[in-house]
Amino acid sequence: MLCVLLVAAALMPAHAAPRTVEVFDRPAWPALQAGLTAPAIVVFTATYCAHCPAVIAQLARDKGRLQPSAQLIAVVIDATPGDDDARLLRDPHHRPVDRLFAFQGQAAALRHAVDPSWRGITPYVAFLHPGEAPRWVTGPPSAQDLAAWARKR
Amino acid sequence: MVSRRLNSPVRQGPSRYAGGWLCVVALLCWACVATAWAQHASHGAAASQRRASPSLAVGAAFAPDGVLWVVGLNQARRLFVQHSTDTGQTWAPPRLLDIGTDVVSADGENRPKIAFGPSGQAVITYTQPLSRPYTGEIRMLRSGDGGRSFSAPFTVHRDRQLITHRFESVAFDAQGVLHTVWVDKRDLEALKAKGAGSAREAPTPQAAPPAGATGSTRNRGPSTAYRGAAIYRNESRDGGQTFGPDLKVADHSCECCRIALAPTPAGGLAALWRHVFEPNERDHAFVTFGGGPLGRDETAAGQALANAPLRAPVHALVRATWDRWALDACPHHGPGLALAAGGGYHAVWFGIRGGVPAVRYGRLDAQGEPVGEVQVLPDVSAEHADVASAGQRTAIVWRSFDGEATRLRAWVSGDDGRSFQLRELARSVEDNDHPRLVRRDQEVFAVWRTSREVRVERVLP
Repeated sequence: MLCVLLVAAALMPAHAAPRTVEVFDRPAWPALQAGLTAPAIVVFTATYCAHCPAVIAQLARDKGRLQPSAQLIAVVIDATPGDDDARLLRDPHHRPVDRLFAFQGQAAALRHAVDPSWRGITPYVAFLHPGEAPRWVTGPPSAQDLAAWARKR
Repeated sequence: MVSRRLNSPVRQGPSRYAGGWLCVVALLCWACVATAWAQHASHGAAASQRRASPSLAVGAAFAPDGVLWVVGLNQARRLFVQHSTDTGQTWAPPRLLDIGTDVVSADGENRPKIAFGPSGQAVITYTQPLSRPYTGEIRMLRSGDGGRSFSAPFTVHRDRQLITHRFESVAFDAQGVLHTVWVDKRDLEALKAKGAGSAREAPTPQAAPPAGATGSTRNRGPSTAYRGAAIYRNESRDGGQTFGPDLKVADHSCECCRIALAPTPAGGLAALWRHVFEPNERDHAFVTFGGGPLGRDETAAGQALANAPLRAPVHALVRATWDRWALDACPHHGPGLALAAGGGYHAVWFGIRGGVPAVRYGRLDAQGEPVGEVQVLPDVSAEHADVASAGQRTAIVWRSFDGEATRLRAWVSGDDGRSFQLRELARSVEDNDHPRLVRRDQEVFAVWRTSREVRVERVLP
């Protein structure tokens, strides 16, 4: 009985590696924020970004500890859904996230729509709470950034 | 007696434990449905909205006969070359190149490139991504007939590990030596393989900053981690038929920005790239190679090794910018470099200095040291600038997104960079590449590919 319950618990969708690459076009960012019912972290990343995997992995660990119900979302800014989804999904660096998006459209226009001041540096991290403006961090977030985000309910 | 007790739940019928089993089954069913729903919700939205992205990054160069060539990927991701005899007003039909099963990386910072030598040679290079993330190899096609035909692709570097060899730049120097320079992670990987994951390194000599730079320049001692990647290069003295050994130029480059090359007055090449200076500052490094008497590898006693291959001397690395931008992140935004008529070089680069992100222009002396005032380009949204010069005339070109469209803009100087005038060159709502400057004698043109066309705009004179 205990084994069965453990198996059931293991199957519960606390985290499942993403199985699809979602479209991040111009409506996606406002729609994603409007649809929030819980805190979330969004990491804008790139396939050339050697710093991003460690940041994603650390955020996955931290949010699991501080805000287990929060979503961790990655948006790949130099790939397009449909171009090579299998490669993006196979990438172990993307496994810790709950949802995986990729830019569809002009990268400069999409960056501007997300944050006009963003100069394309990755990782670019948005700490989100429903109904509030994002708080942005360029590069690896600090422990203070995480704590400030986790403190809000 | 014991066996009878073990058997007794069965003999007593299922009703006593049916509720527990039902709960378990319900739990399992709920877990499976919830997982499937979460994936389905995203999949449905994604499948209906996908469309292939154009891969617009191009390389451009004028051949010695004055014909403009571009190399890039077409809509089907096939490598093509195309040329124009009237500086882009009309184009010959694109010609597909046979690269077998190669995959070509073609984004703005790591685009296919074309270069022409003085004796009918032409080379095309690109990075082919490999199976592991962040890995690649540099592939080259060679022509001995000015581009009428090209060889099958071959790998340029001798190292064949499944690691980073990417962001190559290629140019012929005044002696006709072909130089290929790239970002390489063999040294980092070698340290990892030793199990160190980190390494002691010799302290990097810290040059004194120019007047006005802020922050301490104190050498904080050897680092315990290998920062970034390395810059490697090689030479070919026969137009790309054979190559010398892979030669390390510098440790601790940034990992994903293009390398700028420019001719030196001595006939060699100067290189400018984003570096990671101690403790963790992503400023730019400058080095020259070639143009001097050829030397051979030396012993520690300074004696030339008789059988060592000839190679052009490399002059010491110099820190060319002092933004002091400390960040563990990827700008993906390399510099530009051009020879200045009055000596030294013109340089453009992106960085964050004093909290202000901007593309900046500055002058470097002949050794690569910064001189004079650094100027911010007159566009807060400027990105991916390039610089070129023809005598006293200097041109800087960049693109910027204004919220609705991308503008191609230029800063033009007639007095070797002492003063500039802003020019609007073009505007597009289409997807577009980084702009590039190409020089033909005393003329400079901006080449800018959008999803609709390749625009060529005269910038100088």
